[in-house]
Amino acid sequence: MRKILASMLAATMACSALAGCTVGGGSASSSAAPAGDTSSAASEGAAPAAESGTSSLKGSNVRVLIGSTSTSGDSYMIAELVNRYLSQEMGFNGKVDAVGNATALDEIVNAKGDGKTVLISHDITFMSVLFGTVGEQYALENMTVGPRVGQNPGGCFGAAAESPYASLGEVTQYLIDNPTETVSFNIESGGTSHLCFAAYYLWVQETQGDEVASRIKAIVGGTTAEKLQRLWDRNADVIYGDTSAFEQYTQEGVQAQLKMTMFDSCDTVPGVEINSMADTGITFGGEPFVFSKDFCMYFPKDMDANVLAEYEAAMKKVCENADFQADMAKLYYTVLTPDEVGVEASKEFIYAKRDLCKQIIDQAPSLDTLTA
Amino acid sequence: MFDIGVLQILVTILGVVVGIIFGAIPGMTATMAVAVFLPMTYAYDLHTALYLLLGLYVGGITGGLVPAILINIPGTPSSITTTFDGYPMAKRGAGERALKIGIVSSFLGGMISLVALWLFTPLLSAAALKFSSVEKFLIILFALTVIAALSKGQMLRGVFNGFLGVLVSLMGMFSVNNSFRMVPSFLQSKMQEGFQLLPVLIGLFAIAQIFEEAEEGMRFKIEKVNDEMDSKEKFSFRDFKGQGVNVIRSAFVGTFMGVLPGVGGSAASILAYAQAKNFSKHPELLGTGVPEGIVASETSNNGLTGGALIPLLSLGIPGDSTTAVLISAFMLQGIQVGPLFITQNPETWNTILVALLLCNIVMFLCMFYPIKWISKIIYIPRQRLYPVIIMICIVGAYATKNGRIFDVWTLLAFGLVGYIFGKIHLPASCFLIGFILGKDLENYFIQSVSASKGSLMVFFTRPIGWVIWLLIAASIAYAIIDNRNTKKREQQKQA
Amino acid sequence: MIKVVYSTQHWIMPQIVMGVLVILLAAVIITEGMARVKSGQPFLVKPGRFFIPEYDKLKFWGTLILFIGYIFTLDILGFTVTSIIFVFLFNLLYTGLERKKVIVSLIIAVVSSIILSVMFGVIFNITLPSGMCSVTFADFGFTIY
Repeated sequence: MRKILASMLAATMACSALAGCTVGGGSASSSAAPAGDTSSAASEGAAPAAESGTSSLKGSNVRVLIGSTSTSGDSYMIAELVNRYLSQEMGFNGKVDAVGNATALDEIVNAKGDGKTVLISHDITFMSVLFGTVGEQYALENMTVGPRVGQNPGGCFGAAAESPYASLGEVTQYLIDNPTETVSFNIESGGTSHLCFAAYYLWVQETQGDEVASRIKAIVGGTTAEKLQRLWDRNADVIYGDTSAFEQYTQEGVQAQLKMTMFDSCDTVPGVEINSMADTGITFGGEPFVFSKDFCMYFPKDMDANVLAEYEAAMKKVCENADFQADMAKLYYTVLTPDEVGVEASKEFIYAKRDLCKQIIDQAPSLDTLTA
Repeated sequence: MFDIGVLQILVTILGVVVGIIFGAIPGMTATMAVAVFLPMTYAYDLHTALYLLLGLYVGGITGGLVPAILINIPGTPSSITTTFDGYPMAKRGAGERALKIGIVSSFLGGMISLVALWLFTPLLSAAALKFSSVEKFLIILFALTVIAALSKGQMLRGVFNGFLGVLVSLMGMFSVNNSFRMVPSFLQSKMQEGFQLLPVLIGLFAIAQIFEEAEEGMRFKIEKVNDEMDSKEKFSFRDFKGQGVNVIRSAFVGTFMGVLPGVGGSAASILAYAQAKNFSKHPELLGTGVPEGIVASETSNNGLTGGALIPLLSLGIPGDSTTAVLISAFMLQGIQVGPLFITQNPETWNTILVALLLCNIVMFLCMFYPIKWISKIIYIPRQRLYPVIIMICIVGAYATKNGRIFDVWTLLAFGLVGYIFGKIHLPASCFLIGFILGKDLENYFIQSVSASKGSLMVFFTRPIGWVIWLLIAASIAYAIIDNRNTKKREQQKQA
Repeated sequence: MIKVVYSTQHWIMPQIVMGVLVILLAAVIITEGMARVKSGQPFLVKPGRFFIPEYDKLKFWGTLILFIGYIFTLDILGFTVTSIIFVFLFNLLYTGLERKKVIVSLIIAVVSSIILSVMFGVIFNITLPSGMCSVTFADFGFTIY
């Protein structure tokens, strides 16, 4: 239970605030201010939980699984944020468990539908089935699609600052102008980066023909940190990652080996100056290509309808909470409207998105070809 | 300049103490401690959060030495090499001395790496940038040669078991092309990432040991040592006389392994221990319970702490698994770490240095003085201690991946594997080192070879690579000579 | 030259390692066999007995069976109750059934299980196995697994 520990921490703060008064040291009193802030925040946190936190899960432990093993990626950040606000709204003790995609799917398909286990994950949930990374038993049909919780529009491409291109359009132009050159893209297989890369590849193939497209190469594998190192070693020409992770390397004063340009985000990112893939003119199936990572709750197939409705109502309220909106904005994530969050709308959206992804995956050439 | 106050000192103490508990519990690590507390730091400002999290980090890395020395179970992967000399000392009644040597070494390692972080961050991060996948592959290969040095007169068996460990670590899905190898299909949903390190580690060490003693009827007992009788086994700072070079070398190895992103923290103590043995005046004594071994192992694993922060704060990429979690503490506060972090946030930078200093001091005070009582654990009868250890190991294994029964089965399975290794004279520590390094070895090998379009020449064309090749060759040559000498001595003993 | 093909690259390293293992195994057998021949023994010897003479059958097999039972029961009863039962049984197995020892065993089992359960499950909020006997105190907002 988090509250006990939180109150333990609050107690240390209170002690220090007292000590701060008696000692009266300059630095101690400066730290007493945040201490006062947070301990009052902690007591506020308990108050609304008593008012609006009256769900059937009140007081229970809820496991929030995420499809990533990292606690520094967007999966963790969004799940942790949503968990914090939902815990307050529904009065449960949520805990984010970073178990990784395969384990998370296995757990959610086999869990009891009492709402005490929830998966908050992005499109990897259905893409891993489409790509064949996990078996068909983990298809959307074998679980319940819950409310959507938010979007991360920040996936984008990045290249070394000295490279002769600063957008995907320029990459294409570079390939046309230099018929002996290739450009390598570092992506992860079976993920969002694979999909966005495939969309770009298909677009080049469609507009410029097979020859130009065949000189776009894929390098597969790695976390963001590993991709950055590949770029620094100049073992990859273009890497895929998050605007929030790349932005710091684009600033003035970064040493040449690390300096980057970032371009062609998969969706529009509010507050970041970057052209999107749609701006470049990349289309798929005649439509401008737009792709955000959509985070959504998933529950076991035999989910209790009442609890699901409680989650839906709570998530709608959370979306309108100004603090939640501010916290999401700080990380460049998009908040959804209560209408988008509704379970029916959400299910429709996720299934439609799966169909789109399926089309791209079906058309894209295999990675054996792309990496050769 | 920097932030410090009573609150910060209190959360540091809390962090260090909780960190030590996590470190001392087999199966729980500093990384887990930091991950558990991460969501709670949201209520704090960044600086206070850093005091807490760095406290957990330093405490967690250090706490591992306690069970390593007292009951031969490494509390964290980086204290494996501490068991080699720590436990023999504890067995002969010098547990308290061994613990104190470990604590002082940890403190020294932490302080040296702090100095490195403070003064040499730009230099070291520039060096780290020169290490591509090729050099990292060679470093891992170099660490693997330790196996040869550790196998005490049965080198071929040790090397065989080391490679067996590598093979077992490769079971599961290869992350680059998402394809399974060496996993039966009914286990694929559980074994995407293969066997987890922590259950394998505590299975091989703790559970195997329990099976061995159960077979012998749990008769093992440590005689209480009379304090006056054995005054030469009492700790004194003179234990560090002549260890200066060892301390600095081990701290440097630890720090540099920390600086290299993607080279696991456990490689640090393994390498440092091997170097201590290679340079020792009496290498045959290492592994029999000499302070030198504990010094090397513990100095290097705490040397890691400052080192791993270097690439995080100067390049924006974490140096080890714990600092990877630390990134989120910054992100939760809306701050991205990257190449400009230090220049743009001088106050936070200074605070980190002060916090790390404070954490090391608090760690020393919290461990050095109470350790006298903790060391009494060794006198608890094994019949009473083991049931509780089994329970703790189960909690640790279950928590490895945040709650999977499969990891508890892994624990039992490798307990039996370790027990069988003992029966057929295959050194389990060699298997474990292979297991720890195996995945990185593969990853960097494939990366290097893919980048070179399949040519193996890539491993011989880079100057840093040549240096590492020299070290590898020296290490192997040394191991062969050492192995011969050990064998000869044994034959002389028998004769 | 090693050709890295995307879809089969996951077998490159395992194959290399298996090759090395075969060579090492042969080397182990040959060198140890030769050493035996040198000292007048045959090249291959029958492996010695697996267990030590007169090993403690009850404690060894008891440990294994209790361990398996422990893991199976975790998910059914929940962490705390399972641990009390099995830590108690392990204690009985190792120390015997004398009345005084049974009482000590029971105390150790109850106290250590509860401390561990509260410390990790409640205070540190680590997910522990839950089952039938896990209790949620909804009004106080915590669960004993």
